[in-house]
Amino acid sequence: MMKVAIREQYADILSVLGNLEEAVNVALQRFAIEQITAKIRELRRRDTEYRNRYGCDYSEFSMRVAEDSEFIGHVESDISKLWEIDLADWEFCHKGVRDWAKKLQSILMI
Amino acid sequence: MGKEITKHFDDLISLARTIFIQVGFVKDMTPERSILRLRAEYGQYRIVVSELFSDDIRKYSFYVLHEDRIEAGFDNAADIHAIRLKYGHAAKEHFGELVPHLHLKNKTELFLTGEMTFEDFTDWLRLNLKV
Repeated sequence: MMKVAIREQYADILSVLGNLEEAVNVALQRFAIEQITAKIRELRRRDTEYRNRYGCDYSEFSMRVAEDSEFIGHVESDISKLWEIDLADWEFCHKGVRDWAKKLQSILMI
Repeated sequence: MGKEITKHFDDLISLARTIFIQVGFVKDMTPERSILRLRAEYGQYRIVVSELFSDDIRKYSFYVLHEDRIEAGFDNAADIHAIRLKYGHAAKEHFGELVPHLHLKNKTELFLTGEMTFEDFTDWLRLNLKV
């Protein structure tokens, strides 16, 4: 349990509407859900952008650059010589969706 | 983002600001991962940096470009060319392994390196590029 200060005007309103602590927790839960949902939406958008750019999904791309030199040749000549930088960001986006979805699930179960 | 990684990124950005101009960056995090993407200018060169901490593994790319040409690029991606260079005929047994390496001359030359930090990269720039 953590203590935080809330503005008196909110405390007054929420107290009138019912249990203050419960109201604050519900409000925070809703805020967290909203923020996480926005994060997931943004990461999915970037994941799709990379998928369109490289013509395959993250798993296939990360496997092919590790095993297929012709594929790297094609990527570097036709798409981007900086694919390593995209690969790291793509991993962040792709796996990040799972990370946040897991967190969202845990919040929804509270 | 773990406090250590946050400090690591902040230190990297501070160092970048002492050497480069037009430093721009994005930090992002999930409950399991942290990434820093940084771009800057160094004289006539463009600097493109990425550091990802994912599943407790550090993945980096430190690149310097002149216009669209890659002058040098240090990274530790699981690049088949680097894996072959390191393991030769046994490369297949090491698919997916992170291998620190250096690209030169617009990625026409490849050399194996030790694990690089951003500080190592800036030292390399000072020694090897005139601005």
